[in-house]
Amino acid sequence: MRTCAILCATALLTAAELPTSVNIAIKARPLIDLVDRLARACDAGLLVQARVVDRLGVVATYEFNDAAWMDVAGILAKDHRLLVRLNRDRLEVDDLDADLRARLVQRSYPIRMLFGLPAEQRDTINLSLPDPGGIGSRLLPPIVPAEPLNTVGLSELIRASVKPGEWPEVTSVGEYDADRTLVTQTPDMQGQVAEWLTATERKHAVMVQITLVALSRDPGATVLDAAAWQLASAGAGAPLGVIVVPDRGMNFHWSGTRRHVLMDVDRIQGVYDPIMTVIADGLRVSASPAITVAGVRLDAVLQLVDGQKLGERAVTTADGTPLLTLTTVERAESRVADTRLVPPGGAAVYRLGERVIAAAVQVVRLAP
Amino acid sequence: MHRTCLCIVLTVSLGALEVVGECPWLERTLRAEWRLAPLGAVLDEVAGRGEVMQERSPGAIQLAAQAKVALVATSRQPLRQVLADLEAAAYVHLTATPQRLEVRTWREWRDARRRPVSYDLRQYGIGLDVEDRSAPLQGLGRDDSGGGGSLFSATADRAQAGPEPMSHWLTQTIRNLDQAQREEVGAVLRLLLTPEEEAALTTALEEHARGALATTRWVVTSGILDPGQALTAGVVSATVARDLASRLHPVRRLVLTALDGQKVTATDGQERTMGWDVDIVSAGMDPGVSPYRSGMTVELRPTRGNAAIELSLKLSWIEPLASATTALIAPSRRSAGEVALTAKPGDAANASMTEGYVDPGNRLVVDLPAEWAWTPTCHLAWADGRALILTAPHPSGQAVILVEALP
Repeated sequence: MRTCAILCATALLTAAELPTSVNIAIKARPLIDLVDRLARACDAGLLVQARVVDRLGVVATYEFNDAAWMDVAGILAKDHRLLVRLNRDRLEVDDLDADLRARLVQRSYPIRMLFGLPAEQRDTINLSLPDPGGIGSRLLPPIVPAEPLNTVGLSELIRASVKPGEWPEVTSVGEYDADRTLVTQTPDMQGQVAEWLTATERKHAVMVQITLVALSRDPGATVLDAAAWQLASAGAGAPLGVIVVPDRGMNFHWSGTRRHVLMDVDRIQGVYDPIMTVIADGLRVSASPAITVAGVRLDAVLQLVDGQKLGERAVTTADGTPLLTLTTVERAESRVADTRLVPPGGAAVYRLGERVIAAAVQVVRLAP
Repeated sequence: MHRTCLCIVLTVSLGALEVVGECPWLERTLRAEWRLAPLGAVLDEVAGRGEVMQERSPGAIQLAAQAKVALVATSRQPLRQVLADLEAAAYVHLTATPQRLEVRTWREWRDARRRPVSYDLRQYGIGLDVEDRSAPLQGLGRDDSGGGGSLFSATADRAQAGPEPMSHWLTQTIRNLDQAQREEVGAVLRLLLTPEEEAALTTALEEHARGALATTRWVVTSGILDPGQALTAGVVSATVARDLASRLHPVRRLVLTALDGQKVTATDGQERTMGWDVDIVSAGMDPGVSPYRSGMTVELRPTRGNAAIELSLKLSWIEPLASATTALIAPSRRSAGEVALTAKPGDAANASMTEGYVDPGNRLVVDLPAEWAWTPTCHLAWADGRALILTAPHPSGQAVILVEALP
């Protein structure tokens, strides 16, 4: 008897089911009439969530003839943002976005590197002898910051790139701060957004590595392709330096010696005022590479100062009383400032006085 | 490398029907047939069927006069079930007692359960001042980008500076929590929250803290490689870096840890005073003495990206060379335009007036230091498993600087 009662109760609970087709027409009637008749067509009760009950007062006209249930549900979703679903013995009507809204999470993502490393401009000292009293060889130029990332259209780009069409109004992509963006989406979609951002960043995180090598023989060309560079660099010693710089950024290499010298003296109101200066030598290379379809365009300044000889020049009074000794400088300086188009894997070759220095150019990407 | 899963569930979360005491009237049955029926009428019908008094809160009185209910059942159901469905269909909170049906709006019910909660946001990495660190001036070089005695700035200055009082997402979250009565005192945030809201907000803040307080660790190794040894420079694998590190001597290691976006520095060197400048004061030479620092300095700023870390770094390797000195002499001289008393020869008791006085002059020895210097800088996308090798010729071989990330 008890088993029978349970079976009957179960049958009652599961009696409601979606109809194979819908044949309902309402003409200028509140929408509640339509959902009520849909519930009856399912042999089900009706529960309308409070948040959408006002929508069911809207007067509407519909005519469904032999319509599939999914089509009817689709029309209610499209026209009224209503979610109609059969849950056990009743038809439940809710806000289409309610489920989605409940699953939304917010996450912030970094965007500073999204379209490449910020192309800062970093330069080094000029090795030329400074004007007396100047600070020429002491002063590192300031870093010129890159233009901030232009985020105009970024929101649209993300929406268009990550499952377009799955960005209803309750989701969002917005600005968090200058370096981050804030995404409101479901966990699944957050995963897709993270993947897209990672892939985009990886694609654009391109750097150029410039290895400076002294060559014992002049290969006789200003630019070498990859094969020629392999031949020319065979047997070359340790690199003179290496520069790693973002695409379209600027960076430098310099090493050498610096000396504090008494380079000049001013006589002011009968007093000798010594002028101290810092002079530097060595190899300075400032490089600004830009990756193009034809290779790497390399704007470079190379300056080589070596063979420095320091001398002395005494300053005395008219009667020969020594006052001070100025430092005199004699040295070789050679300099090239030009632009080369270097094929992939190749090198630019520069002649600086008696020396031949190659700048091997390699594009460095993040591993996929 | 997204930061923070800000997962505050903001949907209306209704509690189940609240029953206080024995309420046999809840077992009575009723068939709901309300198609946009006024809430007031629905409540009256249910209370009437249960034969209990009805007590409506002020908000419920207002709501009952305005709201409508669409709830239809296919059969009679216990009032317990009807009331539970009514909570969803009308956003009311119902409490059944032996004699009464108490009706409150959902908002009233929620607000009654809220209690004061305070958060010290600094414990979650919000409002903490992330200080950029600078190293002192080193060697004869100078840099115009850092300012304030900084050796240099590893990156251009960032736009934002100082602590953020409250992060954007938290502001948004609190707004979504319908918090009209929040108070922010310094870094302490005071809110009224239900236990569920408190748990969700705490979880979100803890997750935020994990991102905001995460650090990266770096080791910078420098040393000399003997002449003639093979060397691969630039961005290399960690294996290549480890092999090279074993061939360097003498080895100097600097280890740094940084928060996301923070500039940090480390120095290992020597300092001494040097008289390497002269000022002219009152027609005389005044020695200028200042510190001279040498050694190794690293300054870096790691910023997390999605696929890599943006690493901006500057290094300074300064080694003093044999320095020289030079002597500066200011001869003695008679100063015109002033009056001095000079004792008369053989008459010590009297003096004669003489125009001008004799400045004895002075002799000053000035240091002329010299140094070997290397000041490389890099700005790169750093991926796991990579290392960076920089190199330059050194008087005793090949100078090498090796940058690695520590796990």
